[in-house]
Amino acid sequence: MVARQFQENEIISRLIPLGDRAILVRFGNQLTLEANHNAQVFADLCREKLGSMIDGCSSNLVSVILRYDPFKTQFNDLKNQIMLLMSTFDGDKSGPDKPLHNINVIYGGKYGPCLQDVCEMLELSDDQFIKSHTSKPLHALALGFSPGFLYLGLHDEKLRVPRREQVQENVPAGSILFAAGQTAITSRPIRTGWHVIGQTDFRNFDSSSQTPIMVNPGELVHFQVVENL
Amino acid sequence: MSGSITIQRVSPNSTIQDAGRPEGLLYGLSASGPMDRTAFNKTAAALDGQGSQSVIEFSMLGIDFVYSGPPTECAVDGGEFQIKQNNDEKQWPALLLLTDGDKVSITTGRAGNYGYLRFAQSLNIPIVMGSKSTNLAAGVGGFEGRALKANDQITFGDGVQLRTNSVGSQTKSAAPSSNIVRVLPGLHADLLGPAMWTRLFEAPFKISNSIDRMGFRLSDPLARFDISQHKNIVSDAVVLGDIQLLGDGTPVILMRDHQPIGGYPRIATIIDADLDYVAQLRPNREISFISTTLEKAHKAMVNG
Repeated sequence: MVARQFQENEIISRLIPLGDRAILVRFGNQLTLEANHNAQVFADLCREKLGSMIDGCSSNLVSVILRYDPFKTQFNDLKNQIMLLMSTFDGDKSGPDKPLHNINVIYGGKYGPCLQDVCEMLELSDDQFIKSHTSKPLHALALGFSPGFLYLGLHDEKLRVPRREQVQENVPAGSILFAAGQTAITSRPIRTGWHVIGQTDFRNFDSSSQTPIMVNPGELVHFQVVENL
Repeated sequence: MSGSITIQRVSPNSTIQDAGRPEGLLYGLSASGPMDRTAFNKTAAALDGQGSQSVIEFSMLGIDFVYSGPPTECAVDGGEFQIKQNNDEKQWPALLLLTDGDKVSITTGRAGNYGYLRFAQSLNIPIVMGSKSTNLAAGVGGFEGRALKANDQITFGDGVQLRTNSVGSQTKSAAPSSNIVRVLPGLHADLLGPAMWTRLFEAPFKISNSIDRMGFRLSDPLARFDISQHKNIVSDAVVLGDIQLLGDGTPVILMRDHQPIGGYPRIATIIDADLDYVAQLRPNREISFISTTLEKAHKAMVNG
């Protein structure tokens, strides 16, 4: 990860009020691993340093949202504190190795009805695609969209396809979705414009657990091909 | 001995709500909570803050239920519904003394989409991730993760203290004097450009028939938004009150069960102080927007 410090004028342009109860700090307009990494590290930093001023803070694909209660925290005070943190932030964070999760997937067939379309667009055979898709661990980029919904990436340029023209209804929990240089895992039935390429028995959300999420942003996921779940 | 209610009839998409589940936002789950906090808080005040933390939020067609148990109180508020207790018409809003076998019937009235029914005793509903609120889209919390339906029975626990950190509980929200709702620029206002921003204000919209806890779709006879050039934006954080533009340009006001992250552009965000008013606007009502500043939005939270 390339570490660099932001200039003050850049910091101002990256801090955006979102409604009247949140501030967004954006690390890029395009999804890159660097922007994603910076967002995750900066979210950790904000939780550590600004905990008493904010109601919560989470990282998105390329940004951090900080929520505040205007009755307790003045917008300008919070903005100044964030800018202070930004002025020395270099995105670097040395820590323990990130947990690696192996997740079993059945690709194609009735479990991944869009796999054929994806392979045709990429001009790859099923086997070639699956081999590429499982060749290395992916970064967990963000949670969002629906409970436990995990964005993973980024795939190489040669594995990028656009979303589908038509939205599919009732895509089941445990679906492996593919589009826009990313793979996602659903934990609840959703409607989606992404390609459904496979199925897993892994669910990244358990509302009855003290820790409802199994894989968090910053961790790694390595897909393993299986015939049965 | 504690009481219970049995629901005889209930409007679709009526749910159990409390102040909300802010920590859910960390897990891809919106915070939920009451669509109209002002009315929600008024039912708490009517019980001197001694009532249940969680309430029944019923939608436009109301609710009929029978109470069973020792004498107790319940407070109802929100919109303008009609209410009967054992065939006696009551004034709206109401504070009712209930005795064993009483039947309460709340039916649609002149105005409003959401009403609140708060009992003196707590509701025996499991706490999921810190809250009893139902998130219908996720199937989490509340009564088995779903909307209430006829024959559901809800039992009561003890009377409890209201917690003080309820979502926006200090918001003193007065309804705007007209149907003009104040907005701040949304996350993608710059990207969409000044011409589209101006068009937001040039004529009223109407509330469509497609309204629920996730969002209120607006109808726009002018079809004024063309977002065909903005279909590949990076998904980013969504906040309550965002006005997002769907692929065909249809504006949607995102409400309590919104997705925490979304990929459609957001042109504007409705200020906190005007959200409760919007939640009660029925289909076919006109709605217009006016631009304001963050400073004024924060003042409006205090002064209305």
